Amino acid sequence: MDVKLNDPSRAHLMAFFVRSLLEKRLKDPEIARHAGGIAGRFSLEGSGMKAVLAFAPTGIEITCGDVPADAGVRGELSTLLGICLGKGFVLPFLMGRIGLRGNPIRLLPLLKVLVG
Amino acid sequence: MPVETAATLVDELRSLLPAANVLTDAATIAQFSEDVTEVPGHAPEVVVRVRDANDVREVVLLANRRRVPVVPVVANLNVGGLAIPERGGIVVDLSPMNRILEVNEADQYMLIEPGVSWGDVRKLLDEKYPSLRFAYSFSPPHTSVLCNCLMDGLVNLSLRHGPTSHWVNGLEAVLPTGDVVRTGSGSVGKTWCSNSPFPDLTGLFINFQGTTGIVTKMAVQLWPRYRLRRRAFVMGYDVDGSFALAKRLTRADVCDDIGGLSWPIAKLVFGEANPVHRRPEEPVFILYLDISADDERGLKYKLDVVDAAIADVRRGGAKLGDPLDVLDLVKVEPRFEKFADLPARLDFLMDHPGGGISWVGTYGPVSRWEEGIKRGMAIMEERGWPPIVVTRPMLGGHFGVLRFIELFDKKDPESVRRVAEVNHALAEAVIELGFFPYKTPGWVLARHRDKIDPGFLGLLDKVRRALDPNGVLNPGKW
Repeated sequence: MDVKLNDPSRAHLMAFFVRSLLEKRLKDPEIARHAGGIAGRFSLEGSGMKAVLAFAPTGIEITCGDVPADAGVRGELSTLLGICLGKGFVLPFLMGRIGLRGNPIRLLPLLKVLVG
Repeated sequence: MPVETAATLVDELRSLLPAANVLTDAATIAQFSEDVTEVPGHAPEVVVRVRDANDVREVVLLANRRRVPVVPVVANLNVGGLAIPERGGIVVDLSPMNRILEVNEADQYMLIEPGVSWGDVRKLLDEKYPSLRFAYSFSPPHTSVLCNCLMDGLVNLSLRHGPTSHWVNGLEAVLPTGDVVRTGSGSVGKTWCSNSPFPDLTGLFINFQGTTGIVTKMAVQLWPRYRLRRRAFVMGYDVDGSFALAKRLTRADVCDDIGGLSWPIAKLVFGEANPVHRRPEEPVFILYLDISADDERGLKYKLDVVDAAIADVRRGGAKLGDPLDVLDLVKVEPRFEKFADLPARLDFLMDHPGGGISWVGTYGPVSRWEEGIKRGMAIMEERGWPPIVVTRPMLGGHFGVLRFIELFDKKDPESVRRVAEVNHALAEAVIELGFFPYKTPGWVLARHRDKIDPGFLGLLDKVRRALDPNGVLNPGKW
């Protein structure tokens, strides 16, 4: 499964982090299979840097900027990084350190791809 | 040098040193003819590999008799053209002199030869002296510790203890006349524990760029190693806020090291070859903070101070991120490991296509840091260069590093021309603010000599002539 960062010469730092994270996680065949079953566009916004992940069966495209998305999550880059590294998302959510956009149920399949 | 004269010189050197250590083959000559910078190369007549101070002495005496230039070299990786034999002659390759002669655990120093590298020191201390630490630069692990100390280099304890020249307890040097001298406490006894209380003759060799003698041994201070260590990155979204935090933390005296890296550096780590576009929502500077302590309580106290400083600077209106532990970043992107543990080879700077790297690296007043950074970044951006900037407060914040870096194609004349042009513009701008290039390249001295006190230059010349009356040691430098 491919991960593509659109126009990397104009991408922001968080998009590079997300690309590295996805490339690493998708090396696990089970996670890649799971990701292949996700459809939709999801935004991640860390410390003001916004990226949208477009899932398709063949791969994930990352685009920087204010692109429409089905659902999303935002917070401090450090908080999002902590969640991705498996430090938990409930506490940051309860403390208001992350905010959700759109239907949160749609975000749940992403957890398996991004969190580990 | 006429061919016959060069041949005679080589013959004489072969009568002094093993023939295998006197090299004239094209590959070796080429290796020592240039460095990574835009400074034009120049071939030496011969390269000699020396084993000890006596070899150095024999070579220097011969060079003096024949009035032939002598250029001491170890890794040939300084970023200033300082080891290019611009008038030919003999390159003295000191890299075979690579012994750590002593580590004195009680008096916290080591006695090293010129060829000892950062990697050698790290390995020995890790394996045999876990209570001690040295500090490391961003130079590749194979480069010379002694040369860094002689050239006022900066390392990851320079915030606390200043440039590495301040750490020199004494040295042994071969003078151009063949005399071998010792300075510091090593001149009177068996210990090399201090440069005090002696007249500072060690200073005759610091920053003289090899023009006053060839240093063959050096005693350098070591420091206690604390059990716990954290390195964190804090993203700053404007120059003023970033450096307000850097200054605040400098005075809080809780960090071993504080550095500022401009935004293109992170993108280079991610493999972006020419990062010239910054999105407005991106950080401008990334500060890295090194913190160590011997126990959890000490570490927590220091981390709390960092958090409080961030909160305070934020209250002043700056946008700053929360600290990111470098080990967490490494889990996402292993290439960040280079920043987690020094010494490390910064391959994104060293191994790019084209191979050229140059900089205007200066020391100057932290009071004018922000102005220098902004001016320098604008100069680079106007000319199409990624504004790669590295900063570091030194010696408790008494002065700071301001360094602008360019990566370029050494084989492309236009690229070389552009580097020279931007470096001249950068130097002009920051010298005006009170910064001055360390490891001072010849082109800086040629263009800015008129700004230096004539009395200083006169005294410098007298000192050098006293030590090197025939001007054979690394001529053309300082």
